[in-house]
Amino acid sequence: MRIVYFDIDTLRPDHLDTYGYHRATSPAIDELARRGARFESCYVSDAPCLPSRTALFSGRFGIHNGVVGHGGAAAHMRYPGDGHVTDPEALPLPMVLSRAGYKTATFAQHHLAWHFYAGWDEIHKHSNKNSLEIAKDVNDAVLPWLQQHAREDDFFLHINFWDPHTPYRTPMSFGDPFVDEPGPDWLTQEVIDEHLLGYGEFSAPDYLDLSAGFPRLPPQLRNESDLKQWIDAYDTGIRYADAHITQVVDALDEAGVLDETAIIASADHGENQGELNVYGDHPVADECTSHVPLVISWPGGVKDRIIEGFVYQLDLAPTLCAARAANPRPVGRNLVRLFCSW
Amino acid sequence: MLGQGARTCQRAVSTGSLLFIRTYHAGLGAYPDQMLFDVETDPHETTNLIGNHADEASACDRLLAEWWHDAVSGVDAAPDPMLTVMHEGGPWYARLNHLTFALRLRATGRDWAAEEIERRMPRPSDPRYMGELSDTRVIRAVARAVSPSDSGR
Repeated sequence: MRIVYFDIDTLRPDHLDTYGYHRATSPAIDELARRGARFESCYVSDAPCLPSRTALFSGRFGIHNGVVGHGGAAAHMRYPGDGHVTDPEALPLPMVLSRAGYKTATFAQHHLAWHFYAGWDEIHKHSNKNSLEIAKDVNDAVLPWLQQHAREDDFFLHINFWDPHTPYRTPMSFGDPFVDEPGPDWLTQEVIDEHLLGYGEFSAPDYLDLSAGFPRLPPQLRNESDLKQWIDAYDTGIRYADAHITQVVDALDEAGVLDETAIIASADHGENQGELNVYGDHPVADECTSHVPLVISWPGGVKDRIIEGFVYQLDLAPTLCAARAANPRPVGRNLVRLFCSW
Repeated sequence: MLGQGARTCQRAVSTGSLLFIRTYHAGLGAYPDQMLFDVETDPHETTNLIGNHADEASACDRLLAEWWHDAVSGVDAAPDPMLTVMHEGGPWYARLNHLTFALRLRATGRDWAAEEIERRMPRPSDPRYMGELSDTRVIRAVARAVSPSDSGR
């Protein structure tokens, strides 16, 4: 089995047309949803980036794996064992899959944590831009890898796109696909005016002007037109990442293995875009930060199915282990039966 | 059960339509200690229902407490890393960054907000910061304090 995991940073499900958004931000993710299952209510247990990925790959809540923060002791994962002895039930997902015979490869930065690297057979560091990379930088490394390896039997390929994360930096040559479409209707001048009386990192009055270096960004967030420009830039980042999903899917198709490849698209967290007076960050444990998209296109699985029930993103750890009959996981729920009958 | 420990310390309970959020530390933001939203009818979280729906809120709060008691019991029990964050002086992104942020708030006429943040952060002389004295955040804060005309972050 081939498994490709698109890990799209900072992606709100309600900004994808497959989840009902009014803008066509995500033709590639929509196509994956038609080929498989779309989960309506998938949540990360621990936001933001590092705790979320630690929960996903450990298959454990932050309160158990030790990681809930981005610095200090709570950013260090509890080592799953001691000395030469490791607890097989607590090994990171890529290590479990690697021991089960998969080639595990990640195209991602280390997300503030060296433990993120544990278990990958191949770690591809495609640029030194860290979170300022764009999807093209990632695919410049991914596509040659696929040319070489796509036909091999068992691999777990993790691809991390960052384009919907601030600062919005999609190349200007990509155009402005949503310029003629209305912005968010709930963000009226009345709401913005009230936000301007508050405070907080990422709040409207404390907006950090980066427009000199990032021309898609407005210089301020004070009126509806600023807000539209801001949301246009976020949505364009989504559209740009999505275009690079298409490139990878096309490469799998050209290699003749698309129908035999499981493809998963999800995010490490969502994004607040005005909610709780937070514009373009994920600093809380609310609906907007915690709710993530999850689309699974699985060989032999359901087609064009919406799955309503609540799932944790960390359920993917037991799910993928079960799919490969690898070590069972003590935490989380095996979701395989929700999207595949075997 | 949802959590955040990098910019704020929060844990939340989702019942599907209702979302209850408990804030242990608001970091550099303005978040009430408890929030309750009906995310089905109010997806943009504009109305905090905590005052009007005390029964629903306390039911969620009880679920949160039960989850926590369960997580810190039994064979997988370990110290709650959220308390580690609190013990270290607050969320990583708030720590020391609050110095420059408070300067910005004062420079923009929001002393009340600066005071609110300072009340939740350890004082600059707190020994918990000793290991971080060479931190660029401190150097930046000192530079801004010396030259307050440049009060941006």
